[in-house]
Amino acid sequence: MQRALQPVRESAMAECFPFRRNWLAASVAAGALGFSAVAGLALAADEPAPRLPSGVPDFSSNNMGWASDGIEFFPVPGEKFVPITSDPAHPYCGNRILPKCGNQNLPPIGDTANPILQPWAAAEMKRTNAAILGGKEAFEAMGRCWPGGVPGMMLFTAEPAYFLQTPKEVTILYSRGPNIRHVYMNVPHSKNPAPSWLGESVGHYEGDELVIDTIGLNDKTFIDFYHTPHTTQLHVVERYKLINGGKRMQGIATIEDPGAFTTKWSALHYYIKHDLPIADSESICAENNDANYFNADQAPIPQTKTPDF
Amino acid sequence: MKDALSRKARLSTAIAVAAVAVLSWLYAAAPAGAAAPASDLSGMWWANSYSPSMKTYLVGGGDIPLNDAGKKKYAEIQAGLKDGSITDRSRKYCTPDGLPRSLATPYPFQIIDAPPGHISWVYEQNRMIRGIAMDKPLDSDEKLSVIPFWNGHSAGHWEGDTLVIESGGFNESTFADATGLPHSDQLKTTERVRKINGGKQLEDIITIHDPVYYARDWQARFVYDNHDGLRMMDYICGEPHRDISHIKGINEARAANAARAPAR
Repeated sequence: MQRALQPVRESAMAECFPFRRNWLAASVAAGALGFSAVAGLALAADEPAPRLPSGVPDFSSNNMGWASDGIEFFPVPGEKFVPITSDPAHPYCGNRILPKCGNQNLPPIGDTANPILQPWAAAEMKRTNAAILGGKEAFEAMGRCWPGGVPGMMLFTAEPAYFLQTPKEVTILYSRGPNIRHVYMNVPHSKNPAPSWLGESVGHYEGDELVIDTIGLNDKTFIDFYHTPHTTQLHVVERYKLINGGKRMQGIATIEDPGAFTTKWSALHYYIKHDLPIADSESICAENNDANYFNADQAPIPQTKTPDF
Repeated sequence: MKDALSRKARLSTAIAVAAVAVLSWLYAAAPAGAAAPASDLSGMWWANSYSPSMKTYLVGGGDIPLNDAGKKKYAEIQAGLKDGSITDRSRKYCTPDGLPRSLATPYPFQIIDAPPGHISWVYEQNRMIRGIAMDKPLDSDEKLSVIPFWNGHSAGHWEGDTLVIESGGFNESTFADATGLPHSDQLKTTERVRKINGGKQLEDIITIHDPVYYARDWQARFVYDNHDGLRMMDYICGEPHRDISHIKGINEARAANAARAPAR
């Protein structure tokens, strides 16, 4: 599977909602709308957050899951370098912010002038942007039922994600897909892990934060929905923290990739609680997406020619 | 005639139940090591053999007790798989296998005693997730039918050291096994899961209740080896996966599939 530009339907957000669960999409979008007014302006003020009996912060959601607040990264306040945002000449307007941007869907066109991009990365994004503006739609992993990579998975949790905390492992179950991340706690990385879609993640707690360090990522995914590319040298450190008394969660990703970026940079994202216990949450991306809807020239979803067994 | 069938069905059920009881007693009595800890099945588990046919796992032996409608449906599915008019989506697109098929997975899976109030089963194959709500009854049939799941909705409780999982609310997009054994959306299952052999193995005995296609309830038994320390790997449909060629029966299954290629 190549990451090269391939025509795909519009938004990754829309792709993986099985039709019968549009209520879920609607409720997530509604929640996101309400919260987006404050998201990104400043890190939320801390209130006491719930903790597990062991004393570590309790991300396990109390019968709820965490849903992404939109699909964009925000700048981390005070940071010099910021994540890719919308090209000022082509402002993005998606379902989440439709009322604020004229109620007309406009595709994500990334700002290739962002100084974090190496020339080849900017050039690749320009090609992608041109294709999108020309009426095509670019490949997006999660939109076509491939894992979203890291930090991409941080953005595309429109359907709830669940943090399963045990002393040796934090397992993050993303209903959407589904996708599963295994974070091995308090151990070092292995030497030269083979590149994979979600990489190798190790973690630990630092005070109120769950810190996840990930390497060993393949280069088939994008950093974000602006199609920011990366290489297999990508190194991501995520810091998750409960805010507002555990009602919301913030995640800050620090991103290094000497193959794609000129500098280390950071990005902020927020999550809202979604009232759906894990036992009631199943969303199979391939359920409806194998068809080529509207005769769009879409990238194929994962499939076999010969059954595995 | 009907009474005779009914007596036969009751007799078969009694034999199956007795077989389970004997098996359970044998496995409980056999281990010489330390007793398995109660109420904790957490860990990495992996079957050491695989068969595409649920008949292999049938408790009490014999044939799967399909009723007439079941035999007809089974024949239709097998013919459809052969001529390509029916797709095995669980292998073509790696959608969930459903129950009881997922229990035959030749790939490792993990049981996690989390999040609070739940026990989660996480499979490498097809990245399947089963979230089991603990100590609450399964929702009503009416509620379960609103959004049927590929792997069903599950509720569990402990009976001593045995995790009892009741599942219902399945969709009809899966087969009961890799040969195309049918099930309906009326399928209900009860699993009794426990550690055996001093905790070195996990046993899952599943009871299948589906009066649409089966003349009586039937049971299948699965045993997995403990592999704590093993790490899960990516499982992406159509990409290379971990080597499972050492799993007994897998090479035969793959050879048979290759003879039937392409996947559908």
